[in-house]
Amino acid sequence: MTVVAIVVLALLLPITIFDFIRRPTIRRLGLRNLARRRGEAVLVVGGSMLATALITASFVIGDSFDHSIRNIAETKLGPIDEFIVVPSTSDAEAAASAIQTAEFSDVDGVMMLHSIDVAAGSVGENRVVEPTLRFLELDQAATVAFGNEPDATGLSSWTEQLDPTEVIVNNVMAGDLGVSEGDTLEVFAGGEGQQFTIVDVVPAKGLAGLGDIVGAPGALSLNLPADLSESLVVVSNRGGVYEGAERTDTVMAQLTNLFPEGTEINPAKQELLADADAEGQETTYIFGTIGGFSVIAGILLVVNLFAMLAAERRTDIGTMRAIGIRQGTIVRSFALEGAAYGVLAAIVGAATGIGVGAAVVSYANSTLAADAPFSLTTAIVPASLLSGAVIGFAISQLTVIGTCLRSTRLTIVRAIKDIGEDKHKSGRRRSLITGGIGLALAAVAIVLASDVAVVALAAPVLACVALIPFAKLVLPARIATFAGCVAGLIWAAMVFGILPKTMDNPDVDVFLMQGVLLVGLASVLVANLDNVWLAVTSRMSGGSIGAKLGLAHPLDRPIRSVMLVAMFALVLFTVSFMVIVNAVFLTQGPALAQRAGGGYEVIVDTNPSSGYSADELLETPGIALVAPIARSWASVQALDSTASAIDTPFDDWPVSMIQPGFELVDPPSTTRRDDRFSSDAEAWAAVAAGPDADGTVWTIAPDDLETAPGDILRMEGPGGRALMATVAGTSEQQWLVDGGFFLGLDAAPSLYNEPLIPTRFYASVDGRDAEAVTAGLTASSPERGVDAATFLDRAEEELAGQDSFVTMLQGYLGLGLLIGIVGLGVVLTRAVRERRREIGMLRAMGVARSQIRSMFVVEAAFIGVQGVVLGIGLGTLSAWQVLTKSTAFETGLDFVVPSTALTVIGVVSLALALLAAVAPAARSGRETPAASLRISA
Amino acid sequence: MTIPMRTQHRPTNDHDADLLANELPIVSARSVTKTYWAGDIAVHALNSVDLDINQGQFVVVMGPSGNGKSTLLNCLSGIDSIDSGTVHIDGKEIHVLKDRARTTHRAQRMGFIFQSFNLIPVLSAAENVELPLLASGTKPSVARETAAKGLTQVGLGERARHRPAELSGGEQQRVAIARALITKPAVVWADEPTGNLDSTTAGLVLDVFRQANEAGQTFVIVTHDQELGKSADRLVEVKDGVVR
Repeated sequence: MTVVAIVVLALLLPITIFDFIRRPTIRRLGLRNLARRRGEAVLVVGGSMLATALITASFVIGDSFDHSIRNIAETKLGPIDEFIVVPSTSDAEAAASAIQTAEFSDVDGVMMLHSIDVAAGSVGENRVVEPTLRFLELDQAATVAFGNEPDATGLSSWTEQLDPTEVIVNNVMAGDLGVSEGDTLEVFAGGEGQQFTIVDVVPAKGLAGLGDIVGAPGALSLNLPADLSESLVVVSNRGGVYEGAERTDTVMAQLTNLFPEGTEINPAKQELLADADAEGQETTYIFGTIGGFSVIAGILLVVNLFAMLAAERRTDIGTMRAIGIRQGTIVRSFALEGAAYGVLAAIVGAATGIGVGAAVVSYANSTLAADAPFSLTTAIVPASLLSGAVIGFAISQLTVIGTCLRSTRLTIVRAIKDIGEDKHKSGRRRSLITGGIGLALAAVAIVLASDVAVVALAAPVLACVALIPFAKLVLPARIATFAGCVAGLIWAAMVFGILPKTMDNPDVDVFLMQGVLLVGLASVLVANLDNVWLAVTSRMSGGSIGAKLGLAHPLDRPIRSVMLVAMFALVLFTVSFMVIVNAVFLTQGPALAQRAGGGYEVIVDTNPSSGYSADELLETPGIALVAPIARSWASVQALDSTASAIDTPFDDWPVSMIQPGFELVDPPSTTRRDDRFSSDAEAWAAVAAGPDADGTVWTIAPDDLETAPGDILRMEGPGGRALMATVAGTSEQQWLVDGGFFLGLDAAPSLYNEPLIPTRFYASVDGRDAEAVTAGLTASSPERGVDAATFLDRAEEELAGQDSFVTMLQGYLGLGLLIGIVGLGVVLTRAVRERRREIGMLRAMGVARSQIRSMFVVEAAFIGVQGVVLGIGLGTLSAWQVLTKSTAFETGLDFVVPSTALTVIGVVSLALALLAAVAPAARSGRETPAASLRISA
Repeated sequence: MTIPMRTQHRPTNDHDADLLANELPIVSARSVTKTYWAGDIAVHALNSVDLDINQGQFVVVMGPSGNGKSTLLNCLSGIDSIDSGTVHIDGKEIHVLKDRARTTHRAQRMGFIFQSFNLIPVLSAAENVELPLLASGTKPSVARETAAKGLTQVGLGERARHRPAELSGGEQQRVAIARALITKPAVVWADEPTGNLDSTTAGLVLDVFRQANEAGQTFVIVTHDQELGKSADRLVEVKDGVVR
């Protein structure tokens, strides 16, 4: 986008700059017109800058997400770039020694450590226990020297080796438990508690962020079975916290060569930074695309503004043309004027965008879960700001030139006499040529890319619109336009149901296109019904002059009105669509929970070191049946039909390993199932059983991947072991509990070097209140690391997060609504000037000032009502289509219309539209009639 | 130069009859001054103007361009402010009236015609003509019917649904005249009403004015048109902001 904008400006700006320096006439025309009405120039800049502000804000938000997630590199990794998982302490020592001996030039630090998942709590009254923490056993000297950057370790203040009874804790954990230096901390692992004295509280950074508690080597692990602690070798690459990751590819290759095949080597920081960049780009894309509706509204505003400027100067332009000034020269003077507006708007817009972005980021941060691994802070990247300003400026400049090329094409004598153009003269021929080009483009698009969602949506609509000029040859113009728009509307609204496969799982830009098409067509359709509106208003208003004139103006200028209405409706379309989609999803908590958990109501996660077992859970009052699940992850790839080549890589996925009996409680339903299984229970039983007699390993795959029952997947564990699994079925909503792929626990040895311990349990409740059972479970044994929740809780928590995100997007779109309001205000303000003579005449013939004022209020209301009705109506229609007739989101959703929320949105928007008319209306008719008529001597 | 009134006309309503009976002027200006500022330069458009216009007179105001004719019309009719002096219309001092009262007075008692027609471009001919009726509170159905008759009287009955851009200059001016006369105002103010018209059309316009004048309406016309001047009951000459 930025590149396109730079190219556009590179093509346009040199001419304008040349005109500014070497063409005094063009410079005078452009700049003096700019200075002629400074108040209105401010309004034009204000209107034009909003698009830039939105674009810049989307960049700021994306950069902030990127920066904040990248910041985890400092808070959770510090100097660590890669880590190697080894079975034991002696293996760790050997591995560290091997790396040091190899003397890799890109490595500046190697260290071994033990990591133990623990629970920990304060001691005494008001005891607080945190069930999920990480205890690191570190050597003081090795830690401080690690990576040649003591500050990055977060433990630079650590000067002496800790006693086995002493620990250092980070400030986050200390805050959660309410403990401080000198306090006693009780750490739970392997079912036993062990007390330590806190000797220091340090910021959560580097190694002190990776681990919540730091103790001396062996302080905890010596008292635990070997399989409850993890031995790691961590490697620091040469360079700082961020720069070191650039050497990861080289270091990974060296480490892979150094260790035997199957050793788990993890490029932790490189992956983290890549994830951060991806998340940042995704956020920029979402905000940029959703904000695209408002940017289009902003473009319509600029078109309107410059069309009005050109119309206001029509007589001047006619006169200039009469004395021999070419159209191109006049357009260039407008381009110069537009460039001046554009530069100012870009600067002000970029500054405003920073504010909007910061506000969104601040709100987003307040909605983050307390245990989120990062906090959001506003990041301002100069290159992004420049991109926002450049894109906004390019859009503005392109729009200005396009609009003025159209507006300055006039008949000289008609312009001088200020008589309207003869629309019949060359309009039909031009319309037919345009229609022909449109039809050809639509045909080419359909032939070449009919399976692309955007093309499937837009090309038939383009064809419908392009046919209108041809239909006018045989039908009355009004009917031809009506038919073309209705046909296009039906297609745009129903395409998700008509072509469900093509429109499956579309990107956000498809919705953007649909919104633009629906709103554009409906706005033209409504403008085409001018006689109807006149009749209705005349009947309702009792023939009031204000109503008559208020309506006559927008109906007389249908193109301008269509743009104004579309400007309003586009933003309301998006807001309504999102409000409805969100409302529908907020009601889906029970359905999500049922799909993820099936007949299981409770999910219990425990610390691997706690030794918590299914039998213990079964003893809990209220728990009827328990299914233990061991968890890990695997790299998954879909193979082609010959099972010999990779067809689709799916990257790393969580793996849940279940045991026979999982199917005894009604298991999560499958969305698709292999024909070999007659029921969901049978499919789950096959998965839980592990490899069957033929050696086939069955898996249940997440529904949102492109896999089908019968597909063969290659799954590779972190240590390099791999197995082939056949998809028995697919299941929805497993993302809710990070379920990923389900396999039988008996298949684990084929995939993992170490045996897996069940740390997750699905449980069914014996008819008691699941919430109460869950609360009791968590409260009864936090020191065992028990974190219990109902599936419903998990679903509602997830939906609450989604609700916050949608609210944030709505706030962001509020700026788009501002475009509509400001646009309407600016257009009406200019209309007061444009109709000065007319107002003078009306006043002269005895039309009261209040009636003149009501003319502008009626006009604003007419535009506002259309915008609100079209925006909310089409948003609702589109949401209904997408949610109930397509597979774009989940299937089987119950459609609900949040009528109160939509009513509030409609009323507030309409009120704002009327508010936009207040200032122009107050200005109208203030002059004496003679001054308005310009007939004074 | 002032030419004595040649004929006595029929009054248009009781109020006008009273004016006639008491021989009070329908328009009476005393010591009216008006100054414009062109940057720092003061332009004295009207210098202490005194003028009485009687009910039913057909007054033509003539004089060189830029000498204050239009300003005189605007100030006398109340559509422009004055710096000092008084203007009475129907016995009311219009420049001390509040805007609402002055507007109502204009709606009920005055009609305006301008050289550039000043029709509302987004309204049809009939809708333009019915505007003053609606402004003075006439029911919409009655206004529409009356407007149709008004257009028929000026020979444009068939063009009622056309918008100004679809009419010739002469037709537009006839619509403007129909609009000015539709409320049967006591005073019709016209500023160069034939300035944009050919001589034949100008003649037709004059005929319409004359018919209305014979029905008792007072006309005050600013013009350069010698033919109009010849048909005046009274000719007022304005030079350097002074009525002579």
